[in-house]
This record gives sequence, structure tokens and C-alpha cells, in this order.
Amino acid sequence: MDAVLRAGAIYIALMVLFRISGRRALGELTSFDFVLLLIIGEATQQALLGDDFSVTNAILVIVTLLTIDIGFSLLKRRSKCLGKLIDGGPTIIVENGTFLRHRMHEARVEEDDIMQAARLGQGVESVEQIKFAIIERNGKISIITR
Amino acid sequence: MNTHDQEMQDRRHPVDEDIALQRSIWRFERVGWYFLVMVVLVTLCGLFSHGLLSSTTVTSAQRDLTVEYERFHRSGSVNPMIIRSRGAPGKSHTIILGAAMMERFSIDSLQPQPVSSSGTGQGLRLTLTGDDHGESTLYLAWRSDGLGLVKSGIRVEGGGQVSVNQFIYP
Repeated sequence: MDAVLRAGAIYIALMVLFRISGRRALGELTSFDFVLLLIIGEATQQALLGDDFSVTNAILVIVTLLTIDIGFSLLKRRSKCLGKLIDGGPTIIVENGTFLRHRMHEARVEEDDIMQAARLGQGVESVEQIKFAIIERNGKISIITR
Repeated sequence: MNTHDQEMQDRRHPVDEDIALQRSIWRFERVGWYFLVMVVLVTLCGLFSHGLLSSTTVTSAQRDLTVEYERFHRSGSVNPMIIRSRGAPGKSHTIILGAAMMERFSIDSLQPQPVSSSGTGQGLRLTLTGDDHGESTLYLAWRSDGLGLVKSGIRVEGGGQVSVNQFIYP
């Protein structure tokens, strides 16, 4: 019972915490973010396993995590609203060469972030060349040129 | 309609937006950030063990028993407790650790070793040798196994007693 409760609590806690930190936390990993994720993984490990380092406990924890994950994905397929609530939806932040600054401010996205994504993906030099820039559900910024 | 309102209208092309929901999510992120800061601050203050809010000292009315302990514990973690007790000079005296405490915690270490110990319905009886003034100090490390509020007490046999209220986080 312990293993299931631990895994469930950690899954929900991590989901809420990553939701608070925003989609960019996972989408655009800098080297520091990578180190941060390693530390989070290390801190989580102890809470997941407790004092029980048996193979059975490890398998039970993994099975529980996968079950919750698959369960959520099935629920998201059934309810579009729940899917949007958990993953968010795509959001346009540049429209016809113009930055939508109020949206960018609320999404905590800078002009530099958009231009970096534009340069990396499309070799775009200026914002005028961008028709749409969209923050995708996975936190990445996709660019559609004019 | 100003620029802000125009920007916050749903677009249907190239993606189908639900900007109202998205704005609620952004608001949740902002409120959540303040919540995280609050958690860090209260942790520094000791709400989750070790700190101003957690470390406390209680003394019996007769002033023959003083206990230093942590109010807040995290399940599986180890926390110290110092019990200072006083009996008749040159003689040994007995302290009793409440049964509720013994059921929800386990003793990780106990120094110095008591002259004798026995388990009773009231809890754990420990007989200690006092110094020339009859005073003794017992250093314990408790490992919390339970969950939730633990109301218990420690008393000197034939002397004073103190209530020890602790909370164990999951």
C-alpha cells in the first residue's frame, strides 16, 4: 500500500509543481535547468522508495507511476477540457510580425526567446518575417514565417 | 476595444485557442509562485521541523523536568530530544516516556544508557542515575514512524510531568 500512496503523492506533487513553474521549465532546457532536474530526480528518489530498496518495491512504484500516467492520458482523450487544464493549450505570441506583448508578459516570454526560436528553427532575422509564433503545449516556441 | 482586450481575444487560426483558460493557468502559475515562496519562508521558520516554530522547551510545574524537543517531524526522519530531570541527590530516579510517543516513534539512540528500562502500559520506564544534585540529562534521537498529531507526555515518577505534542508530516 505504501508504495502506491508514495508514488501517487509524488506524481501529483510534481505535476502541480511543474505546472506552477510553467511550460518553459521543461520546453527550453538550459544547462542549469538540466542540473536542476537531476537534483529534483535525486530528491524524489528517496521519497518514492522510502527505506525499502527491494526490487519488488521499485517495480511497484514504477507500475503505479505508469498506471497513473496512462490513466491521465486516457482521461485527457475523453475530456478535452481536462487535457487543456493539465497540458494547457497552444498560445499565439506573435501575429503578422507584431509581438503580442500582453500575452508575452503573462506567459513570461521575452522577445529574445522568440527570436532565438525563430533563428534556430527558421533562420529568421527580424520579427517582421514571422507570421505566427506559438507557445506549444510542450513549452517550445514554434515559428511560422510569412 | 483597447490593445489588451484585442490581444486577449481567442484566435481560431492557425491554432484553436482558449485564452480564458490559458489566462487562468497563467494566474495559477503566478499564485503558485507566491505559494512556493511562502513554503520556503515557513520552512526556514521551522514549520517542517528544526527552526523557531518547531524547536521548543517545556518545564514541569515542579521544575524537576525539562524537555527540549521538536514539535514538527517528517515521517522517517530523526530528531533529537534532551530530557533534563531531577530526583533525590545521590539516588536514581525514574522517568516515564508516554505510550503514545512510543507507539508513533522509535528510539534511534539513547545516551547515556539507563540503569534499567522496562515497558509498561503507561509507556517506557527509564531509571537514571543523577549527579550529586540528583540531576541527570538524557539525550534521545527519535525516528518518526507514524503520521499526524501525537499527544503524549513525559513524567518523573513521583514528580512533575510535561505534555509533549508533536506533529508528523508524511
